[in-house]
Amino acid sequence: MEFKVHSPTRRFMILLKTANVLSDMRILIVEDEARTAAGLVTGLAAAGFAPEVSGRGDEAVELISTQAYDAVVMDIMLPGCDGLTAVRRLRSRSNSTPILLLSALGEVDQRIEGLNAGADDYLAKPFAIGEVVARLQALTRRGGESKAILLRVADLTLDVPHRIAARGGRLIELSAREFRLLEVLMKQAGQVCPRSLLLREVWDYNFDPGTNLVDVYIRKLREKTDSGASPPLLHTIRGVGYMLSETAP
Amino acid sequence: MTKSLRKRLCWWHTGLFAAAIAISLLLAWKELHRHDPAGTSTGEKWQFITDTALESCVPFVLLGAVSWWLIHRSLAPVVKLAEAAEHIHEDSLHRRLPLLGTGDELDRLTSVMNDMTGRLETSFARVREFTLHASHELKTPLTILRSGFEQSLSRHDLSEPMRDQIISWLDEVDRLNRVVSGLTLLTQADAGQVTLMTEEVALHDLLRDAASEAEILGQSLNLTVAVVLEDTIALRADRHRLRQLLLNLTDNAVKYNREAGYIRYGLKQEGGHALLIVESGGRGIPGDELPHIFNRFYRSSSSRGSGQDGVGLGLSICQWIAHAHGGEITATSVPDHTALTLRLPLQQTHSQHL
Repeated sequence: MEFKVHSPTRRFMILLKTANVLSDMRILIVEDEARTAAGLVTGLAAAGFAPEVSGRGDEAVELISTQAYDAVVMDIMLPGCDGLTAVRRLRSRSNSTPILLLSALGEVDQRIEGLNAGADDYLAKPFAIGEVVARLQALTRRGGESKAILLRVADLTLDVPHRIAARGGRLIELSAREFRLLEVLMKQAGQVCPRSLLLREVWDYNFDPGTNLVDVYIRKLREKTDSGASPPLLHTIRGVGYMLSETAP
Repeated sequence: MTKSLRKRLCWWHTGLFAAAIAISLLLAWKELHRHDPAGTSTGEKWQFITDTALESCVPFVLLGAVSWWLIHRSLAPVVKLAEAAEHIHEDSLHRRLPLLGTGDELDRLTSVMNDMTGRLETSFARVREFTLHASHELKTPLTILRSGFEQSLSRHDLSEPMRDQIISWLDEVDRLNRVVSGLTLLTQADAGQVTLMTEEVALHDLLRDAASEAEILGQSLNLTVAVVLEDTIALRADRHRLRQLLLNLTDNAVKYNREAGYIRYGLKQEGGHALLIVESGGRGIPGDELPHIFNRFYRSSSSRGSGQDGVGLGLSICQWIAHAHGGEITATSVPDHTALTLRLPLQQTHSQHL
């Protein structure tokens, strides 16, 4: 598949050629900082998206209005017009392409400003690629989150409405926090969940508290889900996060 | 007011009047002697002098009162100026002192002070802008570093020692990011750019949450965690910020605790304030370090050598959150009993912007 690069640089082209695409989910990355964009392109391509890059806000508005993207990752500080203005312009043209805003000023005020402008989600720099992937998947999942009542990974099952967890028919007792943690991990089964994602989804912390809270909870959860059962399901991806999957990474 | 310019001037004036009267009396006495060296008896002369002294009391008191009133009147603008200047703080440097428009020395003093505040404001703003720009500029390379390391980690031909190395670099990137984020937050807070999102918050629920997290975090140390709720209190506050504060206090309480130590959370109402108390065991904070623990980048001797990877901004952020809510955090510590107390006013009178 041929990549489109709007505002191309040589380095981009080289990186883009090495990236491997598996899906036709088109994502437009609007980022003027070449290396950040390159990192995103490689990360998203590895996760199975088809990324394209634009380096200007005004250009991005035209592209999004005229082409069908499944989602947009947009930096706030951009030449041409800034990300917030771009989002407002798109929404005023009744364009509803899901937009994930990126900003180096990761504070609550910016987040609210971005969401008010019409963006669908907001992520502070520096981000883990896994976070971008997880959020894009959430944004592109048509018709919202799958309302799975029963989540299943191998012989581990989670009955969300009745709050029952079981492995191989054996019931597992979980605290509310552990249950939510397992739910998030199971919904993202097969994918790495960065610590930051778990902190936000399970604890509602939008900041890095600098504690080993997640690690301690994972250890407790693993004792409950994986002890006396095989194969182990809850894997640590060192330096990145955690993953629930039947096969070891 | 222990030393008042007004009082001092009054005393000087009074002293001057008294001296003037004394001198006139002395002169009168001499005059009497010269005109009538032997005639009237000394007693009569004394009588005359004391009468004159008593009579001069009236103009003396009158002059004193008038001088007091004059001094009071002419110094009133200075008092007002001082009061107005007292309200100018680091975060209200945009304020200016009111000019009287008389064009006298006091007006000149006022405008000089206003110029000075203006210069201070500019340099403060420059420092803040610099910090904000610096943290913004740091985020971009951090993002690039992070995604670069992550990509390297996903390579399958990576040797184990190299993987360990990259993971430790990733940890450093995260640590640096916490420093930059903390600095950005505090700088924005200083510049009044952070808004509290207030809602009705049940403090007892927040404490219970913090306690359950302390239990999990403290398991490896066998800590005993207790919650003592003397009152249940709900007030308007920023839930996320308070949770951030409590998590930070909890984290510290666990990190610096001892084996089989304790953490006790308390909540009570005291004179229009809600008191949230986090008590913990462990070595404690030496008395000479207590006043500094809320300072930015202050690392106590106990945290420096203990291999804990704090960044020295946690408690500063906690204190800012307390101040933003119109409250305060205080700390006391003796061996095996360190108490951090968050005092929040029940009636939130603070402005939204702080």
